[in-house]
Amino acid sequence: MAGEKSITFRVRRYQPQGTKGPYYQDYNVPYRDDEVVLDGLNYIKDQLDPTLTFRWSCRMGICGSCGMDVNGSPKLTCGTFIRDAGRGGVVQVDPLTSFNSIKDLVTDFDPFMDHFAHVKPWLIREKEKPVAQGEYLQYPEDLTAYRQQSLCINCTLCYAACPVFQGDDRFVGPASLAMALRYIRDTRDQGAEQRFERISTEHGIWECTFVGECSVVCPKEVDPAGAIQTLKLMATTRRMRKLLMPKSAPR
Amino acid sequence: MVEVREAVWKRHGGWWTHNRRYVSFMLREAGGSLSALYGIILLGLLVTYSQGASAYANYIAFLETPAMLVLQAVILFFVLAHALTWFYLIGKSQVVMSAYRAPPWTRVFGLMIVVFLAASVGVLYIVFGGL
Ligand code: SF4
Ligand code: FES
Repeated sequence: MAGEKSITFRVRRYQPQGTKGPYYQDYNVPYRDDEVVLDGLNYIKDQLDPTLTFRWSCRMGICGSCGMDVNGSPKLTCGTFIRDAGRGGVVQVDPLTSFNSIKDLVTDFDPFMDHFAHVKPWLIREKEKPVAQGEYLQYPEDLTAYRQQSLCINCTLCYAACPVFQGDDRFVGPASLAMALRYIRDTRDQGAEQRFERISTEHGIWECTFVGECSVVCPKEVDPAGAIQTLKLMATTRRMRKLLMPKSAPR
Repeated sequence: MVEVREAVWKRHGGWWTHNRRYVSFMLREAGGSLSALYGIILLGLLVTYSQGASAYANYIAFLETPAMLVLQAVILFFVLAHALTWFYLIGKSQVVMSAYRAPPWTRVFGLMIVVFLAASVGVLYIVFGGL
């Protein structure tokens, strides 16, 4: 990564076995205009400081593992150009907000995975049909109904952007709730009732105050804020229907 | 099992000042509380009205004092900020999908403004003796 220009990377470091708490370390990084923040971090690791620890894999916005706070905003570092990120000659890189740091820029995803599992992100059938009868078929418009939410790559940028989750980590959170909508809208799924029992709660959809930042930072245009408002509308409609027409079909 | 020591990483207080969308969120929240306060001020009109003409006139005179006029102007600003930031969000995160395809946010935002203006004109017409 030999380049004409150089910039300071200010990286938040933390070693769990060390005696001191988190601290910032500056690195001088040469760069070209077509290089991204992840390239800069890899330059540091390869050329300057092999102890720097961070996650990445695909380098193309697919695996969702390279999310970090870049100058205070949650970003996929493989999709953020250094030339755009350098503010006042400094690129500050922190772990994603609201997640504890295990080491340097590596965060503990467990709280997210717990919330994710909570919404039952799989197809629920009342009764499975035998495999011999073939797959469950869908029309293209059935896929369109949930495609947007299915594009989520679990990068957790939306959690880092959410002040509600920062204030209360019991909040189920944007990506998990968007995933609940993805399965509720799937014509093959019959688990809407079970999911609403789990998400139409104080720490589920009703804790969202519609800040909207989750949808702004989402690199896949999943629009979790829109998904949560849709779920609020659906939950209310279901509740009213149960009250007014208790014998009507559940869906 | 080895216990892993983790570093807690949260935004510092004042986090919302660094991002204009967080600022607009805070304005919206403050606008919500202030519109509740304005509701109480309006309720005062009803209460004093029930107490007779002079109590009502005194309350109106109180609302016209400079301090109360400034307070109402501040509330108006926050309520407008509340409404506009909501309309912007509704346009951005659309619940209403027509045939699975959301209309452009500008159209939803524009529609909201039109409805808002029409409702305001309707209320002004009623309040200022149109009916
Ligand atoms: S909803 Fe968007 S920001 Fe959130 S985890 Fe999924 S892809 Fe990432
Ligand atoms: S490295 Fe896979 S999304 Fe960035």
